[in-house]
Amino acid sequence: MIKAQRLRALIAAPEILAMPGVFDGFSARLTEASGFAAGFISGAGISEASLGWADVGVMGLEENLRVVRALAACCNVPLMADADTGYGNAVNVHFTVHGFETAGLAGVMIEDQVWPKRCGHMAGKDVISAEEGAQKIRAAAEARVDPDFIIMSRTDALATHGLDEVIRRLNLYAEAGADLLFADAVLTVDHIATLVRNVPKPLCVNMGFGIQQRATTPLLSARQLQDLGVAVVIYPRLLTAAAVRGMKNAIAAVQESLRSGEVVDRPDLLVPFEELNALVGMAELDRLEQRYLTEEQLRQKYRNAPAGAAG
Amino acid sequence: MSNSKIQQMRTLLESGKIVISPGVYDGYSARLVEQFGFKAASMTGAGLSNSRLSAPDIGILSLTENVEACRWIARSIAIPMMADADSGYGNPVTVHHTVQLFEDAGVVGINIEDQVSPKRCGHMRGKELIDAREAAKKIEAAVKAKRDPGFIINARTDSIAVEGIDGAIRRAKLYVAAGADMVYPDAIASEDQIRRFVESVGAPVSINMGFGIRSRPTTPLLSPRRLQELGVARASYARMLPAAAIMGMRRALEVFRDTADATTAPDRPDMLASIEDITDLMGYSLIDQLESNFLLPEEMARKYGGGQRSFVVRS
Repeated sequence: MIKAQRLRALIAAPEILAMPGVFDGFSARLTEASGFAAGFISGAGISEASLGWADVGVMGLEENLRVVRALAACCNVPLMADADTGYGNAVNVHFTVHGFETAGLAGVMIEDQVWPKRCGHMAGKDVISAEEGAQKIRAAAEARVDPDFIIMSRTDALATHGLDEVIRRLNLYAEAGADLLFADAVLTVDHIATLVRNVPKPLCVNMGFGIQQRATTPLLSARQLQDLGVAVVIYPRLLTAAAVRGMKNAIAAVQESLRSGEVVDRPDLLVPFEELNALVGMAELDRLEQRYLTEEQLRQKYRNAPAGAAG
Repeated sequence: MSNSKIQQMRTLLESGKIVISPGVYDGYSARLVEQFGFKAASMTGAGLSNSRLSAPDIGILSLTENVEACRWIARSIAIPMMADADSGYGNPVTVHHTVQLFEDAGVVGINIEDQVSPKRCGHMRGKELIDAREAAKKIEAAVKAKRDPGFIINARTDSIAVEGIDGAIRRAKLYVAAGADMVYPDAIASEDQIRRFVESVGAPVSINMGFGIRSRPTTPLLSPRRLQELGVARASYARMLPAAAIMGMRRALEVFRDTADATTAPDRPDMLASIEDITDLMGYSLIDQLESNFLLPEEMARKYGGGQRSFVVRS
């Protein structure tokens, strides 16, 4: 598949690949419209947004696939998905990878946490054995039909076992067929530099909010990470946190209107109707109507006005 | 649970005070509306189609997808939520099943509109209507399909753009006669039209204030107080939160893109919610409580060692 091939080339390129985390139609389309070459679908984001529940293993394979299929279909850029622990043992992983590949994704991430998993930056993580983790990656690598489909292996072992075990695990996972290696919730710049030197395949780092510090991984720019030798950086929390912040600002303004009884007009807080329509593809809809509806259908819809839903 | 939510919504509508119901479309927006103290929420079909399917609101979202989304979102909040059932997904026979599926999903009522299928957002051009008699039959079928008599059937008419305000009032009266609990003239064009509509239809009226804090070309922006003075029973703000989320994300992406080559990363907590904001919003305290109640001591020890027994790593 062409998207997997493109993602593979982006990972291999000397420039670092920066992937904002996407979680819904708005964030996916904005990421593409802003010129990013690829997106990373945040499992936490889709659990929180589409189910309304925290990323603690409430979401199953089918709910995940339903969301990522729709996002992959609307984007021209390659998207990677987050398959959590693979939803079972190494045998289940075979079917899980098949599901994500046929859903139009360019790759999938599988982690070595115990199920039910939790966000990598939470306390109380627990991991399966390195050997079982490697067998899951082997099953994933061998399940793909398109050899370009990216298998990203994530280890959550830093919090439970320390950096040496992380390095041992990532080497085992690379040998089992992982294309991209990822240690979540690394704590220092030193950790990152040490990992780059000691793993045999491209390394991915999670920079969380991207433009906001957090208690776990320190915030570095994409340029700094590239200089350290990192191949891929993901920002899973950037857009969920920006959306929540945007909505909080708007709700505060509407509450102001409720208190004062006056109209509050705050174009600085909301995108205009036209931008919203453009973002969700109304131009494409107009083109399709013009091309495929009959003259009579168009007349009934638009009477004598020029056709075009967005007005 | 859903019965008591229906009761809550009925009580709000009978209070004589306008019910302010922001439109929600996902877990974040629904939980924020609850967290900020609003008493009711309304699921926006457009927001759902845009965010969940990444498709425009032109009838691509199917009945079962809509119901499934509503089920998840409704059960994540304690306040009553109304749903948007588009045109009812077929004829009056389909509407019977549509109403029962939404009622089972835990919402307190639904909008059913009189557009031809495939429908489109009420503020788009090119709208077409079904026969007013067929639309009234859909409402009658909906009312008779309710299992809890408190479940709210909100009859939406898209007729103002096609038949003018008089046509819309005529239709609304037919829908009220068929048993609608509330009527909703979408894309109503002026304050005067709202006044006339409210005075003529003889049932509670719901008005869509769209962006709420930003004007748009169709319905003029009125304050909640003004709407209350006009006799409006409920105001929904269908587009406010999607447009706010997009603005938040757009700004963050701009900063992020413009600083990709910087030698240090920008720290802009003013632009993003914090992780504590998000974990508080998503109910992590419940997870902590469930773990300490139900996990075996050895599992808790394995997860947390001697440390604080809480999910969230606080800074």
